[in-house]
Amino acid sequence: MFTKRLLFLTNQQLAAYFWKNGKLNSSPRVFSLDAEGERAFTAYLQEHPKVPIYILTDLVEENFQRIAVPHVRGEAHRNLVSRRLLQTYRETPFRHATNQEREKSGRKDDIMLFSALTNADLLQPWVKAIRAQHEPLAGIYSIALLGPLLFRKLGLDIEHLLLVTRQSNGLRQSYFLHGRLRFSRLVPLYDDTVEQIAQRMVLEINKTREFLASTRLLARDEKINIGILAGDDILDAIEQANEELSLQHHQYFDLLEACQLLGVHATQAMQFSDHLFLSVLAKHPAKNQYAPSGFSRHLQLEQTRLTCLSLAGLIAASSLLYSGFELTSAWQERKQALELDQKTSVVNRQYKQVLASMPPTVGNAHDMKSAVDIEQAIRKNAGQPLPFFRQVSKVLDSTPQIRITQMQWFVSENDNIALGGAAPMTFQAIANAPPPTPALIGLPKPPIQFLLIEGEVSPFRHDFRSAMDTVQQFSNELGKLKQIKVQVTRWPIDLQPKSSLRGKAGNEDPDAKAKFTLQLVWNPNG
Amino acid sequence: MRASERLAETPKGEPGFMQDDFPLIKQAVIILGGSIGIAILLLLISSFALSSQQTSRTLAQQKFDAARNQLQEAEIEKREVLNFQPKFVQLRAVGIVGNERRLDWIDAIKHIQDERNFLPISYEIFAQQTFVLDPNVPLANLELRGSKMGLNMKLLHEMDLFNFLNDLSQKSFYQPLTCTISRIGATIENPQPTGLAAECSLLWITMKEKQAETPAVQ
Repeated sequence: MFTKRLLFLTNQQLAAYFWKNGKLNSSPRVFSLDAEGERAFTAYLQEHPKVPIYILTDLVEENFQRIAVPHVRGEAHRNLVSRRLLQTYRETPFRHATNQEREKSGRKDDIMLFSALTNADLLQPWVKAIRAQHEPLAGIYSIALLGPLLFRKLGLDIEHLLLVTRQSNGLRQSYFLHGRLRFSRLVPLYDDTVEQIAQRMVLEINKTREFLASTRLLARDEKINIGILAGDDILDAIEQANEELSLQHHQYFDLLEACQLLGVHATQAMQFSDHLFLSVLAKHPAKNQYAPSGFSRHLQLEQTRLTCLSLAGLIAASSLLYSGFELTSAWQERKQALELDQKTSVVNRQYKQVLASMPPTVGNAHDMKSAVDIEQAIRKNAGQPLPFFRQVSKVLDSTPQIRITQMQWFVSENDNIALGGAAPMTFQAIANAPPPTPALIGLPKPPIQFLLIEGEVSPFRHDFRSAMDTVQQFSNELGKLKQIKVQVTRWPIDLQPKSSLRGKAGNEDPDAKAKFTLQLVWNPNG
Repeated sequence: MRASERLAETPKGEPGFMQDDFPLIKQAVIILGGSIGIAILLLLISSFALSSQQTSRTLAQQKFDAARNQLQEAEIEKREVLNFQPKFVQLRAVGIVGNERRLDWIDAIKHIQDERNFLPISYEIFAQQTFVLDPNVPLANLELRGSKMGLNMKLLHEMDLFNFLNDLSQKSFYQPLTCTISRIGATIENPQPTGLAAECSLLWITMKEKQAETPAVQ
């Protein structure tokens, strides 16, 4: 929809323009309003098929009527307006209704502006040709009804506005009250010189002012704002004539300047506003005005066709893109699979080489490793009595008054053995003892070693204080050994307050002994 | 005839959509349908191709992983054989791996006793039992077994016991569990003990391929 055809219909001719890339071509194809022109137009339509067509009319035979219709909504409103429009303009199908305002009192009817292109014969041949060719007709418009598109952008949205434009078909004056079109009239201009045209324009404007005053649309002394669009030479001439004719509150717009304000591409030799209106219509397509309902069916079909083709293109492109992506991924996967196959072959070759270089084995490799590891772990962790005995022997050498009667060494999983020592190790006791656990032979960590020492202080001489001191000293010396905890489990004499104490003073037993018991705990893990 | 009536002919006598309008968009609709069909076909083909190649790649990856693991295991096995086989052969030779050699143990005890001129030694070896090890201790396909042995011997000196144990460890693999050295020989006439006696509990240790013949103990 970036290309459009714009047909400009006047009382003299039909001019066909092309809108492309935001520009209107400056040299239109012109068709005369006769049979020859119609044939040429049919041929023209075949040259550029399927391009939306916008018809802009600038005809003398355009009628405007403000009519009050009861205020209803929805389908009822549409039916009512359609009926009243038909009653008002029976002779032409090119009619249009615009809801302008509501009455402020009474029934508060809707005030509608009914308008129609009353000379349907001017339009009929062209519309028939378009429909016969199944060409997409977007709508039929008029310069007068497009006025608001112009004056709002030109900053002329004021209470009383008379928009005056010089058209190729003559001088068009459109009167807007509060931005709403009240009427529009087209006067042919037959004058030759610029001054004559300017004087004629001023004259016509004054006539319109008098008409407005006579119809009480405008008070006699009320000023009206006049916006004039014309070539700069005309505007200069009007300015001179204006002094004589005392036009007030006017605002001139050179056509080039108006094009800039409206963002429309301008051509150098613009004399008429036709180009400006056509560009505005092409740039800001308005809702259809005069084309009867159903006449733009081919446009909808064309839009449907284009939508179908666009969708088809989009789907095809998307599927191609996605499939391409998937196929590329598949190719990558295949490449990776081939690379992996090659790597697998290499690894298999290496495996065979390793097998070939494997020395003859006497057993399972893991069994061999486990056997060696366990044997080494047991040798490293398991407890041995000799190191413990040796440490105690060194301390004994420094305490000659201690005499050992028994030393009992054993290993245990924990250090909370009941005081008093292990049971005597007779064969029967060994046989009946619970089965040893792996922890006792150092798996997975070294066991705790105990040494129970039974001894006596010699010589004793019934000196309990000295015996106690000797045992304490012996215990202290043992306590200095690294990682070894010492506890005296039996003293030569029990001094605890909760115990009974029996003895003799004088006539002592010559065989009495100062016996004691010590428990040593060596925890290699602590 | 008025112009409005002339131009209104068409809307009044509107033919059906399929007869009048559809031919104008028929080609576009066919193209749209065709493109949808081709798109579906393309997507099916590409999805199938991708899925099948992904499966191939996954299989190839699995084969590669298996081959790599096999190689790694073979290398580890080779390394273990090179590192541990000599020691393993030695363990087997001294009887740590394999069946119990009770006869060798008895011979060793007698040999030590004779050689060192120790006082008489009495002993008793009990039934072999299997250890149940912590799962963190790798044992491969082996079982760790132990046979308890009670040992009584009289000593002239406490070092006799340690020399005996040391000599025994050169000839077999055992671990002491308990050892008691006590003074003996005290009489009423002479209450002071004159000699030493030792009582020990040892555990003969062997390793062997797993067999379900001995009851497992914790």
